[in-house]
Amino acid sequence: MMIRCTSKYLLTIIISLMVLAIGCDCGKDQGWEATPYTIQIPTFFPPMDIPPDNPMTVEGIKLGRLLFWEKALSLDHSISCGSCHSSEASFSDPNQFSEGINGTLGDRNASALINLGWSTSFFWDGRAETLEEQARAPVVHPLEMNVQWETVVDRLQNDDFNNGLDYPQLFCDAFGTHDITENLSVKAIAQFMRTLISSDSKFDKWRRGETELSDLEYLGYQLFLREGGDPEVSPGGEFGADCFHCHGEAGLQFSDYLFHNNGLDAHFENDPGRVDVTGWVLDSGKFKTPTLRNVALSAPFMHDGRFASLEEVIEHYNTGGVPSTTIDTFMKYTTGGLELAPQQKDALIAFLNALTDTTFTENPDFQDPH
Amino acid sequence: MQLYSYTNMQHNFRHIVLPIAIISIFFIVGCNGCGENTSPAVVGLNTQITWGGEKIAIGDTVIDFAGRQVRPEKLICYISNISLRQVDGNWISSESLDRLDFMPNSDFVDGVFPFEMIEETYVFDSIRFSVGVPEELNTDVVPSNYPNDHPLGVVGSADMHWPMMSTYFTMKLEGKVADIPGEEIITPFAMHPATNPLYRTLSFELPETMALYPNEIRNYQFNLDLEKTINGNAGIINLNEIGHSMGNVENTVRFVDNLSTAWTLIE
Repeated sequence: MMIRCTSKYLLTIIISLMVLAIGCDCGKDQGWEATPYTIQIPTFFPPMDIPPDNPMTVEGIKLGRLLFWEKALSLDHSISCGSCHSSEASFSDPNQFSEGINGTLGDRNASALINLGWSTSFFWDGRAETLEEQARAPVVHPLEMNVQWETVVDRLQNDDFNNGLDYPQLFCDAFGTHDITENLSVKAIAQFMRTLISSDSKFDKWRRGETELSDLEYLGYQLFLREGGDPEVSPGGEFGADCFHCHGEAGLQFSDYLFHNNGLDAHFENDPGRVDVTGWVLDSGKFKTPTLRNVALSAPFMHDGRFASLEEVIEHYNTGGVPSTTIDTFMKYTTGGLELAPQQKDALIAFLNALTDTTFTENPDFQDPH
Repeated sequence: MQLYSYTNMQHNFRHIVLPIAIISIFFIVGCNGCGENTSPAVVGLNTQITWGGEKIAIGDTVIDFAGRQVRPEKLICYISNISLRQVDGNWISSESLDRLDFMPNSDFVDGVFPFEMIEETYVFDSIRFSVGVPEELNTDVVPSNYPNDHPLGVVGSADMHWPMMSTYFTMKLEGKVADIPGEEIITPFAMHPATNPLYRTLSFELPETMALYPNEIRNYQFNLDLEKTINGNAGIINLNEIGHSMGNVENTVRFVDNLSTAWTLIE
């Protein structure tokens, strides 16, 4: 009886030790499991496709947020992703060109990071096809963070910058391994960026029946949807602003995810745009259609940040743009522009302001956790 | 008696009920295996674009009936309800839809239309399809209700959703044209037929009857002659006067009516 009892105790102790041992090591094949995170798809939004090899988890998003705001991802520890994608500016840069390490300036305006989980390409020229691929690039870009991923991984692995965070454990929590890699880092950042969802602007609330648009905002919305130009000189014109052709309203994303030349320049030597990715000459001068969500917060505008205000943007479209080989067929460059009256311009700006969502920019889950 | 009865029941179960049950399951599973015969066949619609009979790619410069240079820059269309006419005269429809997106530098595009096989074989002598989105899918549309990889989803319909009318465009042909032969190609045109009255169905007799079997992939080669869309049996369209087709209903109708001769079956 005594022996049987002792055996039971021994067995219990051994099992307990095994459980403890497994608990201490979060190796994937030893029972590691992160907490699944389900994206809440806002009303009227399309489904979001999550890459099967990077499922969303609470731990992954937490790590991604830390990395997004982590200055150790730049050569001299001076900037993070968030330095050029500031939350107050809807995760864009209020400066025309962002300042990289040592004060080097970039050559394109930093895009607003909004609802990227629905986007099909990234960067102004669409050279990245996934968020993971996108997150990889700025770290090594010589005009941005300018550091090799090997260096970053080494820093995170060894905590040699003394920020008090146990990154190996955070990676272990998120991915089941203490071995930090570039791939896991960009996966975590991509998970965090997929959570940057804006769906609570006045326009969203109006669409959900929760509020009313003012007369001016509604007029602006109608102008947004209507064909541009005087029908006498622009066949098909409806005296509208013709925004919808590119800033499509489908799924409330306000982008067609495509690339257009909106008549900024006659020649494209300074920045050829999409053609550098596709090699097709008729893609010269084309850039990705940005979303209009939070556009009032994300000045300056265009790929090179040449317009400081919405008024300047509207004036550009109102004049019809500069003709070129690849200018979009919906720019009114042959017929004198949109010919919007001052009150119509005001209405358009009122509508664009109704796309502002400060619950997004002020969301505590998105701010710098360091 | 009770014991006997129980033993007898056991015997019956082992030697009668169980074999019957196994054989029944086998038959049920076997019948389900007939599902192999109901596996869809796939009809592919391979469309090549030409201008006046010559192969072209989007972005090429061609000459219109008035000698003006024309550069088609975008060509997208929805194809739906591809159907096969059986030799007994009955039409069977794939009830599927695809988007033909002619990419730059490419002179052809493939559409894929799965056919659920209700019969083991279809023998047919004619094929037809519609250009555009069927009316039942084209009223008060909500693209976000579709998966992203669906041709009518938000991503799949990029550039083809018309929010003002809550509908999809049937087809888009955009580009630029010279106002006078030899001048710069600068005047934009955009043929954007939309709404249900501009939905068109095109039929083609096959040169010989064809059989379609489950799991089979059958490709048909079609030709879309863009020159005939602006200079066809329904009339001529001056692209340098079209601007945006929305204000040119007559021309838009002419454009979609011209499709019946612009689209031809090659093989």
